[in-house]
Amino acid sequence: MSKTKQKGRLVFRGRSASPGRAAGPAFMYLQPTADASGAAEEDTSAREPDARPGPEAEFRRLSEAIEEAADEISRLKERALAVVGEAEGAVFDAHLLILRDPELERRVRERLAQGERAEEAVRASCDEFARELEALADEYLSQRAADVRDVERHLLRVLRGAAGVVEDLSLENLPPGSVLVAVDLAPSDTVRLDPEAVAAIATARGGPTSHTAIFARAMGIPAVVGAGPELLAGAQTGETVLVDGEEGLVIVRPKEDEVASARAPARTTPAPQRTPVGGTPDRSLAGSATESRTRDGWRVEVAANIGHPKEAEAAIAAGAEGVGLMRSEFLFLGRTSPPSEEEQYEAYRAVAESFGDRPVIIRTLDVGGDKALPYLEFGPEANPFLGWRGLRVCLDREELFRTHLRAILRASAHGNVSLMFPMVAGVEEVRGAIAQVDKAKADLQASGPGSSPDVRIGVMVETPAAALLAEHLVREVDFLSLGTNDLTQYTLAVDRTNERVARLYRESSPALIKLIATTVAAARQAGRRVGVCGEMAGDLSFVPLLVGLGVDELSVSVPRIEAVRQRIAGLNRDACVALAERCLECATCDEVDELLAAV
Amino acid sequence: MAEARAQVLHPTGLHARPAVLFVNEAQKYKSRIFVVSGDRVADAKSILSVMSLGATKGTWLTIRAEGPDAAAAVRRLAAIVSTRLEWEPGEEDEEEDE
Repeated sequence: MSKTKQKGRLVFRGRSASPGRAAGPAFMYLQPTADASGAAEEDTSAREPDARPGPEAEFRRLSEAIEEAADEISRLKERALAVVGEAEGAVFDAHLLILRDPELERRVRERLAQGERAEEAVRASCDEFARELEALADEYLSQRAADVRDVERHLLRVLRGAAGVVEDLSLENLPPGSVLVAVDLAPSDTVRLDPEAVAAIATARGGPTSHTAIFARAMGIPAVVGAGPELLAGAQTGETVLVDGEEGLVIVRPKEDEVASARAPARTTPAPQRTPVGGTPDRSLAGSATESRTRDGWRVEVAANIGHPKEAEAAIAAGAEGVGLMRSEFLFLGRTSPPSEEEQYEAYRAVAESFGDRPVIIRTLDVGGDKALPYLEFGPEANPFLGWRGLRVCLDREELFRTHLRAILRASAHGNVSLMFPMVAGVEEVRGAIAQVDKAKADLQASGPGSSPDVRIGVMVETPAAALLAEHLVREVDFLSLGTNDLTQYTLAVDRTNERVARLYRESSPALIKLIATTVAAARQAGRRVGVCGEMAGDLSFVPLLVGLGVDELSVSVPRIEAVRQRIAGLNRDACVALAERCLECATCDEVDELLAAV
Repeated sequence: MAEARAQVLHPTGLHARPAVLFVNEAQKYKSRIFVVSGDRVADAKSILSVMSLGATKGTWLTIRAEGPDAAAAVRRLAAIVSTRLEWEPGEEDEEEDE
């Protein structure tokens, strides 16, 4: 880093990568990148030149280093999965494959045979591949070159021994409130960060699709990328730096009033719950997630949609306030006989316990002719989506349904469990299902002490019939949950997997919005809760509309939680209500889209 | 020896997650497996050489295998190449200004 004598205010223009503005003391993170190879050279020459070991010894040393690096990357992957989500975890799958790549190994071995040291051979071979990838004029591929260099850094760090780890320790112990300034950040950098300690990020390189940008958005940290290499010379650790993620500006040594204006809005926004990346996800977090609220204090819960108990930890770490949709299909698919009551109970219990007092809504089995189960005798159906599916199947297979319900009721003793029924079109079906719940309770009482009596029951609103009958349905149950994917498909009569009509599948349809409004109004009238668990809930452009319509909860896939919480925190409820009113007057999807885009 | 042709249909091409899937699967077979794109040949078990093919959406690839499980390997890998599933959603426009 070149020193600058200049003490005046400096402005660098980059590209906005993650919204928000924040100021704080700079932390200059100058990681050893492949092109900053001097450090490695120095290390090599520091060794006894005469004690040069042979290619076999070097290869053994390298093999050990690869094993160690693989362990390290696997740990980073677990952490990334827990903290950021599946997409981030997948990056490390690629890193593991690169680390053990047979072609890379072949090139490294060739170099070792010529008497090169392991460090030199790794650096040169990785560099060859990175350059080959960079030469391909494709944005995704140039990002993969960054992955090669990240793996290279890992391997070199292990080869050099503990001394090389210093920079990363500094990254883990960032002083709270720091503005992180770097060339660019790699997945193995961001995963080490404690997001709570980072006020903002500014990088010299990278674009809005760079890893830094994706990470910053996922974590709700203001960020500017591509501010140019001068940025690195312009600031020093400890100096105040302001990052304006709205305008894409980085200001070094900003004026006092600029700092004040950057700080003010950040303080009024409730900080989203985040797990320090340095730690493993902690079960005790189950009681401590901050409540998701709009800027003016209106409560809108953000819960997780999960398909398997193993997603529970990641959901908690991501700040889920509960589970709005726990799917049951994982228990039933891919086997030749139905799961036992015990097996189902254990799976549900694990999730209920992970979430402690926070609500977990379990959806009863939702299968149909499109994903048939061998033990359920689904015949061929001309229209599986209009056929024997969801609650219809359960009501026809009483024994299977009762076993299923007993497992859920038993699990409810270990947490805050609700259950809900999918694919409902009428009140009769709901009454029939509740009768089965009562029978399952009686079964349990007959066989000994068991279920917690206060299990709440809900209905999924995913057919137009259910939405139109919401005022009647809601009297039978404790809550409603809008399954907007199916509701859209059934309302618009569009199969979105059919390429010829997929473009007609639009959640901005005024018809769909009317049905949602009808459902929410019925629930509120009856003093019942209503949530949304379809993809619409995780689509940031629809969040203001859904908040304005008055839903109590948005349940989204784990990787969407953070972004949705951030979105809600930036909203003003009155403005959302006004938006919803305007949307309800629209005649076309385009009109709705236009209103949403103008938010 | 077994051989099959397949077109890359995944929106991001044969890199990122689809490449991980492809290479992980290739490594399960005993056969030597090659991927041919134009005049370039890659070892199907090497993610670096597979990615270096630069196989974007629409590219036709030939998968060639030699060994005891060649036929199964070729069939399975061709199916992965032409899958559209496991797609990564594009970068959403996450403008937060109200």
